[in-house]
Amino acid sequence: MNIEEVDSRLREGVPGGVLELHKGPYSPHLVVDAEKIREVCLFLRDDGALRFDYLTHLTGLDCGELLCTVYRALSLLHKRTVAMRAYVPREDPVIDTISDIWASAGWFEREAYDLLGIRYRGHADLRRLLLPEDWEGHPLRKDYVDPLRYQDIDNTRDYGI
Amino acid sequence: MKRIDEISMYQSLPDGVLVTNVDKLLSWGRLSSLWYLLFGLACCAIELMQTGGPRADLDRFGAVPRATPRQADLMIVAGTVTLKMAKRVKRLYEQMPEPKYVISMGSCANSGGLFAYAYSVLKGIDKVIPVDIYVPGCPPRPEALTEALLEIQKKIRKEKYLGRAEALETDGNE
Ligand code: SF4
Repeated sequence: MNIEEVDSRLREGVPGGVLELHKGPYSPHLVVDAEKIREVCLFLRDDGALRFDYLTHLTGLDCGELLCTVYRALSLLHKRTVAMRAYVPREDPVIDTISDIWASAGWFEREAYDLLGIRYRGHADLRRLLLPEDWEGHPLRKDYVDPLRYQDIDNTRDYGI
Repeated sequence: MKRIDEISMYQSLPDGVLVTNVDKLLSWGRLSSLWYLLFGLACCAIELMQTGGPRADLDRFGAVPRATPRQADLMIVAGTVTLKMAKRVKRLYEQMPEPKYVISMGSCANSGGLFAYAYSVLKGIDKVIPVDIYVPGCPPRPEALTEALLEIQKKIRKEKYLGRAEALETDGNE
């Protein structure tokens, strides 16, 4: 089963869930409706023909006006993967959590929240994962300005170049 | 005149007896058993392990790793220090008893190295703790780290420990 078949199966199972199918040579992926992300993921996991039982990867992207969450799920049974993207507006980047559908999403969502500030509604423990808790801002956003201080540490140095 | 005195004194001593002064003896004792804090932060730590291993064999200079700051004399900051870790490094340093020494190992600990423009990396460990010896390199070879240890030993050899301890007490310094 290739991505077209996953696409059509998903369109049957979750009407309106898939917005677009991207068939680029490098990373074919489905663009899914952020509002329906939970339905889509549940269907991917539980449908007999799909059985994507493992989420290998979840990450975030800054696409300017939009922030994006990228999901990649793996079916150990059928030995295939699928990639999905869900876009949320930059001003209010909220999307439902899928950490109760695939437990591995728990830390990934924390990481995406930490570095890009996407908020995952319903996540049991949405704290920063890598950066200290008192860190300000989300450094993988394109408009992030590097801090010159952290707490009482002056982090500037003249390299003379 | 003093020289003649000394010569005559040595001559009158039986074999196997040496004379020295207390400061020198203390310094010799300290420099011959430098226990370094067992911790590494990034790839430089791998080279630190090599230095402790059988080829470079830091042990032959009396330096052995110690897994607690409270019994360590020397801190070798081996690796990239993030801002998050900087607070912890400082706390480890503060837990070490005086007199204590710091070797900054590798470009990352010296200045941030190739991560100098990362938002989360400290631009040199000397921003948070005082450093005695900087070792350049990415990573420095075990020979370079061994030389840094020898430099620390030279430094200790010149120090007057008793005087230093008194001065620290009256200053009320850390
Ligand atoms: S100086 Fe080089 S080898 Fe050492 S921690 Fe930094 S990047 Fe790694």
